[in-house]
Amino acid sequence: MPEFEPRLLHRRWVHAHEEDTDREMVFRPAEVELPPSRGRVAFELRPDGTFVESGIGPTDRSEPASGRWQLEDGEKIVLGEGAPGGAPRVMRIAALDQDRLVVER
Amino acid sequence: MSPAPRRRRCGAMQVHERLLETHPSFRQNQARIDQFTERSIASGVAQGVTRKLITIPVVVHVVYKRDRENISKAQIRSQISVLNRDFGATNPDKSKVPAVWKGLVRNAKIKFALATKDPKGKKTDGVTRTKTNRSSFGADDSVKSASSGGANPWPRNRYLNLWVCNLGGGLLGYAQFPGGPGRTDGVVILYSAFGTQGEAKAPFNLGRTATHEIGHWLNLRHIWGDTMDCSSGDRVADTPNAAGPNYGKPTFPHITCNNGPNGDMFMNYMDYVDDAAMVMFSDGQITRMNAALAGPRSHFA
Repeated sequence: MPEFEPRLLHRRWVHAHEEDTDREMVFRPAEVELPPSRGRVAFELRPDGTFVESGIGPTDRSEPASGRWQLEDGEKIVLGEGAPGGAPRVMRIAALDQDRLVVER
Repeated sequence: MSPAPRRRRCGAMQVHERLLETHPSFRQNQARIDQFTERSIASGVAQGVTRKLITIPVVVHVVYKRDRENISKAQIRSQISVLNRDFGATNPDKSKVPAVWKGLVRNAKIKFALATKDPKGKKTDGVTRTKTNRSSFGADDSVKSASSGGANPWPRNRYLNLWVCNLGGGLLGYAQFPGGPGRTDGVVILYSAFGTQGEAKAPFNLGRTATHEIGHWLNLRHIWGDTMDCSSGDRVADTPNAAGPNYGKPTFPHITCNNGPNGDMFMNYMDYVDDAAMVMFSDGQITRMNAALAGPRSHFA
């Protein structure tokens, strides 16, 4: 299991698809400027167990949703029901630091 | 925790859903349009609509604050040329379509031309230019109204309204499906993702953002069906379902949703790849666009 500080999760993460590999998805904190894109999923994990997210909507606008999340087995981010075009509902963390969240596809 | 910067929140109010909520008729219209689409394709009415070439008059509303956002006529013309190549399947890069799908590529017989008459019948070059004091616009339709710093649409039954502005939030463009309110009907595109020259910037400098958005305007869905778990498709039979958007310049085949051996049709205009990687509409998508032109957009047929 990778070593990381769970509190580092508590922020808004935006999909930096440019950095993805076949096996992993990369998210960057919202403060990091990313290039223009046809659409990016994003989610904010809050310490109180709630999340807000924006999925990719059917005409390219973002699709907001909110719900509850939890960290399972110390390594899996599990999002409750939210935007149909949002991030995966279960994401196993491969790496996490101040600048980057990497999850397995 | 610091608040997320505005640029990433832009468009957080998903306008399609908002429209469905604030305009219940939009939801009913969409349900009716979906039924019509199926029926008109089954009966052949949809396919009959493009027996002759359909020309759609286009008005480009350039809304700018900085000079560079006031794009040139040449940049606008370059976009219209791309649309005519892409919808006519005369784009040279269609050679990138894998052999297995080459048979699905055909001329949609839809042409785009800058309007020559304005709504009052006066001669026009099909371009309006509006100076605004807004540094950027969100995906909230504010660019479509003079009262919020944008430009009002021309009548949607006679023109395709195309707004070009500095769109915030890192977004390249957005559209509205048929059946929505007239005062917001059309597509919006970032000034640096429009056309092939002037301010257009790689990798979105081949005019494909407009091709994609006009696909939505003619009722096309994303090839992944707008769910990330293979649970729904795009209502077109010849585009394999995909798990989500593809980005960049993928390598064939990219298999998801048990769609092997050929995988996702990521070279389709309705995916999220770079401009250079999207090169085709499928036969089924063209038929679906025909149905839009036989029904909710029949004013142009």
